Amino acid sequence: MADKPTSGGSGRSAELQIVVCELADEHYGLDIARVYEIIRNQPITPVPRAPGFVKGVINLRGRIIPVVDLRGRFGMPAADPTKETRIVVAESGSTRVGLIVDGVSEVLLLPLDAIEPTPEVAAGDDAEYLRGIAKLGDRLVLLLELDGLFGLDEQHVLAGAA
Amino acid sequence: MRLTFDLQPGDDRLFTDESLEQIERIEQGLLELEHGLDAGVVNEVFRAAHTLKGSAATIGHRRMAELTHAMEDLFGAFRSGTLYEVKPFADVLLATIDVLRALVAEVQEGETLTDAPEALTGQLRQLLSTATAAAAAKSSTRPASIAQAFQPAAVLPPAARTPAPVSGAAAGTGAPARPVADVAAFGDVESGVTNVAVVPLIQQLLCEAPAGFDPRSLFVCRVDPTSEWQAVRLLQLVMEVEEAGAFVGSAPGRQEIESGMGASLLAVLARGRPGELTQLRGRLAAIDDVVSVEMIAAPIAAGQADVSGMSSSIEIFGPGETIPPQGADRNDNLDEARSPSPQERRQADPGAEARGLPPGERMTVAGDRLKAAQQTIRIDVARLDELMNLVGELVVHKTRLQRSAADLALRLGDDPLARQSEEDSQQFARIAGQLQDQVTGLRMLPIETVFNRFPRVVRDIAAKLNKEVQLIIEGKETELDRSVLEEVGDPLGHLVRNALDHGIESPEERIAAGKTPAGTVRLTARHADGRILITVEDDGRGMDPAALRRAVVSKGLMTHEIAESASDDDILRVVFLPGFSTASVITEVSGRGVGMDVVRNNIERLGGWVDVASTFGVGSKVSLSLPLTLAIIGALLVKSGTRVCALPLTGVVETLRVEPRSFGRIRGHNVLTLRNRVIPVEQLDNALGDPPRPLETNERGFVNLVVVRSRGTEMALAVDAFVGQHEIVLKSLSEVAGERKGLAGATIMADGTVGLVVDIAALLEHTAVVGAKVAAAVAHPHARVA
Repeated sequence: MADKPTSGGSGRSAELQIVVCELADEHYGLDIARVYEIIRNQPITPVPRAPGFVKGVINLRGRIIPVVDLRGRFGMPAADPTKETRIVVAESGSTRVGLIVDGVSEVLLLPLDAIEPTPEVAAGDDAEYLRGIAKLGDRLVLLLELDGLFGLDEQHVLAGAA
Repeated sequence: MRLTFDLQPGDDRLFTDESLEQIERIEQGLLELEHGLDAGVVNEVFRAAHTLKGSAATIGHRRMAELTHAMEDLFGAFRSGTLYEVKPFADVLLATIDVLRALVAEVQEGETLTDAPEALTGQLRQLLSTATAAAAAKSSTRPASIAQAFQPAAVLPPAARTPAPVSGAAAGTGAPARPVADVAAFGDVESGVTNVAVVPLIQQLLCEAPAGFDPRSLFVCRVDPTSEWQAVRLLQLVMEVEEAGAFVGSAPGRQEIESGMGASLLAVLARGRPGELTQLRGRLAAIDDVVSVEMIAAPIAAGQADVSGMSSSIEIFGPGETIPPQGADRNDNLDEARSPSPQERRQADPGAEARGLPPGERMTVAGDRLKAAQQTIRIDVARLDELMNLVGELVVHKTRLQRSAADLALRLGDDPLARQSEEDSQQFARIAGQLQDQVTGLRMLPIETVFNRFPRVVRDIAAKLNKEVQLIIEGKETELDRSVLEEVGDPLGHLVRNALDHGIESPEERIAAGKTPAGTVRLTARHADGRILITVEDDGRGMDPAALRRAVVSKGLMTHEIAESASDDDILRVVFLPGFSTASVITEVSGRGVGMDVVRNNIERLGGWVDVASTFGVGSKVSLSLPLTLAIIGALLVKSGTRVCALPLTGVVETLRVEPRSFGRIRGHNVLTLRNRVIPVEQLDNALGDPPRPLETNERGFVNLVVVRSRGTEMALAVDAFVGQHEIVLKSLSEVAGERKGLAGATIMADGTVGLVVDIAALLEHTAVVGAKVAAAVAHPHARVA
């Protein structure tokens, strides 16, 4: 598609441009090259038998895309939408998905050497969707691996639910 | 090994598309020629092979170019009449077709996919030389061939320079052989470039040239008489026409030119569409030392007896004029034939003046090619889908706009602004509707694209099974949306294969049954009631209801009592039951069956239905009815829980409002007795898989029900409210949201939110176990339910 964003940090291989999102009191970073747009929360149509973390589908200018509750995906307690709630439309694998986050705070240029591998403790079973952790001052930003967000496990869930 | 081709990025698609088109043309032609030679078809395959060779050579696909070259040579032998029967060559030529497809695929894959071409090329060459030698040996005794059909029915008396006269085809015709006096008139009409010297050349050509290539034209070329290279130039001219695949004959002939006799005039008879020939003329004129090239429309009628009539149809067109279209090409080429304005001509060939020619002397080659190219364009299917998507959005917004205009009118009352807004929205709605029709029309394709694969399939399977089968195709021009077209190919292929495998008997069996040895499979398509009806019919052995009854009982799919009580028509439908068809059953019932349940599922998933009829010993007929498009469907919108669902109208029987106390209960399920049928009742969202909730009643205490049906099973779905009946644009649900059982996809509602489109067939199948148990328990209280 023509509207596919190009890599933000393509010219500077030593840096990664990320969108920082808030989930509860944690910060998550998404590679900006994989983010199409950020939209306000909107009515979501639930789909029967969808896995729990799939909230439903929305209409994005004539295209129907699934919306995933990142809180649900990471096993955090559900929260009611607020004024800050956003849907980040991004590419995961070959699909376009909407990710519900509590808010989007900023866009950052992250030096690659500031990224550390995910510690075992933090990773747990979810290592496949964490790309690493970056320390920014006193903040910790967990970098999401979008392709891992719906890994084999989730495809199992999807298949099982069908 | 990585293959590289001489192609611009992105051109590989163009090459692939065009080549596959030519290959298909050859394949279709071959299948026709197998049944008998036809000059028109021979020409077509020859030209297609020639084009294929040309494009393969252009991109540097050497193996493909060589193979097509060998193929073209073989076709050439048919064209010249050396060979006159395609059948002995059919297998190897069809194998060549398959290899060519692989070679085309190599261009996109970038790697070698087949190592067959070299051997095949050799084989084709070998075949050609053997056959040519054999044909030469018995040429005196060979039967009437198309070569004779190509010869003029009447022969002119030898004109001044006519060499050996053509064989005495005129003898039998009894046609008066009159001199072509009118040809002399050329000298009067022509523009000073041609002189009377050309007349004998033309006479000679018309005498010698085989008739039957329509339409054709005469090129009169003049080479600078002072040039040292006269003979070379003449040869170049002849070769250029040959290279275009348009060469019919020339005077002087090639041998005469090669023998070095000095001449500055050449008449070449060429065939092809006016547009192509106009382009060819441009190429001829571009050869060095060529002073002028005139194009003359030549007589077209094959086997025309009255030669004087032929000559009178010869007209000379002045320099710069295009020849008018002829015969069947008349409609196709109106634009091509449009005479370009002097400016256009000059712009198109700025070199004409430089080469010392009067303005407008040369044809506007580039301009004409451009015009021809603009008649049709290729569009990526993804773009069409995107366009359809946008039109769908537009239609949604059209409804919203109409609603706001109506709201405005309500609020403002009789206000000029409100009136204006309402008028505008109506106008907009009208245009949006037309746009929607047009775009939907763009996606319509003739079913030909699917049907065309079957002659080959039938031929191959029949050969494998040692059966004789004639395939009749009717209504291949019937159009349907490509979304349906894509899906219908596999089920149809299955049905055709079944007909051949299990329907048509061996020639011996057929003769024993008093039938013709060759069976017939008839494939038809037509529009009926806004749907497309496709049938696959054979005159084979048909299905035996008694054997089907035995089989269905022995498989435990039906009790003996039910099987016996079913009518013969009904019992045929057991072939659609899952688990019914296995090879052993097939042989026993001597009908058809493998995978019929798969066929039914595929067709019903598309919103279609399938039925079967058969007479034992006489034949079977399977009918498919499909919607013309899957993209836009009529649906009943209902509210269920928190969302709106769309029920395709094809599966909706009726809507009802029922008091809860009229429900009965069987084995824990709500049921409703409707016209003496007991049907299960279920909340729509439960049926789709949401957690169960009690039946909702509306404010007057009624339950809203939608009765749906699929292949004989009915069910009543309880919904919270009826929204209305709408045309909806069906969109696929993303994979992440899951292609869920019971959902066909999603659609965008007038308010921009997403509604879910219910797949009624799948929904009923999902809940069928419950329904079947209930229905069976009611209908046959004492029967054992499987």
